[in-house]
Amino acid sequence: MNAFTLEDLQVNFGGEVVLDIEKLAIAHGTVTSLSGPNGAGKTTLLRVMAGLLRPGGGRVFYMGDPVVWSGGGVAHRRRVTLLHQDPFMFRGSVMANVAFGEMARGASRQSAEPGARAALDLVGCAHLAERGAGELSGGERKRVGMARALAAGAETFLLDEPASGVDAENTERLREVIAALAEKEKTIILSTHQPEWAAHIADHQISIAYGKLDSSV
Amino acid sequence: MAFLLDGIWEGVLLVLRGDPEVMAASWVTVRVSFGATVAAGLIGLPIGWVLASYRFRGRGAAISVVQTLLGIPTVVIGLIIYGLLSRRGPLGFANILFSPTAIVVGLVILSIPIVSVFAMTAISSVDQRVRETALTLGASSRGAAWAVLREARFGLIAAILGAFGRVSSEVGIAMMLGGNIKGYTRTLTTGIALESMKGEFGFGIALGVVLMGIIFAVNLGTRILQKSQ
Repeated sequence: MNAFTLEDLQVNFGGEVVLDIEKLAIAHGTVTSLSGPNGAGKTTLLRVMAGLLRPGGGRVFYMGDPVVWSGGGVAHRRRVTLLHQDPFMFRGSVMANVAFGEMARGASRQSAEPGARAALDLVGCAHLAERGAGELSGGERKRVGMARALAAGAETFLLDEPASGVDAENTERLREVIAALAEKEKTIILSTHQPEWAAHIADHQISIAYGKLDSSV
Repeated sequence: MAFLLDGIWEGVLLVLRGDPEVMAASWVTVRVSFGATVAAGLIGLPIGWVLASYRFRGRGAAISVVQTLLGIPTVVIGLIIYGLLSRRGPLGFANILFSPTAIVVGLVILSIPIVSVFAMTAISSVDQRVRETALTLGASSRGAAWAVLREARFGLIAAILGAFGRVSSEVGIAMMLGGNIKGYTRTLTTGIALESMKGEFGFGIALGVVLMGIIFAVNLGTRILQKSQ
């Protein structure tokens, strides 16, 4: 079963084609790394797959069903989550941030907290729960962002440069979290400038340049 | 200089004694200012939201109009509303001229552009990632909009406070549309204008002290509320 199938995908910005992918299939329950230089189209591709950016042409299927953008595409976004390169933290505590996804689905803060705590524990940030989100370091923000994505209950994780700007210890921790997710048969697609880092955890590697697929292994 | 100090002292005494005329003008001011600020918030915040969040044909012109209205003289607003509400005017049948309601109508018109522009600026300055982060965590479009508003809340509160400060210290509209009727439409500002012209500095200063106290109390209350969050 493919998590994502892309056909004749095109994204244009200001009349310029920034993404042009004829065919791409990503298997469910695998870890796929997406590498390429700056401006290659990695983030754009992740945003399309996350349902945040409507392509100019082509078709996107998730688990065999076409991704629907109309009506806000909320059903798709509740199954697929994107962790930005520099995760934005809402005003308030770390706990409030991590509980956001559950609460967006209608849960009360009280019922969302156990899941949020478990997610924070998984990324080694349980001690940060009551801290103000604005007080986090870059590495902590990445890990808390990961916890927030986990607590949102998504089945597919799109990670935009998860290891960039993170020290060795936090990078290792992130890799452990990704490995733990992979064991749970979650689909993970991560973009990176460091294919060698991703090689240790990725089942497949995709290279992208100038908006086109370079090779698929 | 001495007459000013005497005036301040007299003013403090009048406030402490709870002078009925001072209290009446204070009550009218509080009523019309809160009423106008709430109405302007209900109208101006959505305008600010639309101008900040959507790209549509004529948006630039709409922003220019709202920004221009920020500078409209209050007597002009008073004159236009007076013309509309006067017996010969199209809204004369409502029979609200020289009433607190007429003052509120004028103050709402005055403060809508203030709330709209401040709100537009506050919402526009929210990090673009807020909406996308909320969406990718499973929020509906409405939920993501709410997340943006939450992030902009201090700016939105400032918009409301700015409007409140403006309407509570306004004279021209209150004078033209309220008529400065003692105990009915006399506000603190129209009272100050009248008493100063009569040479009653002490009474004028008493009204000024109350006016500053109201504005200070509202700002202090808001600040405490912000701190608690």
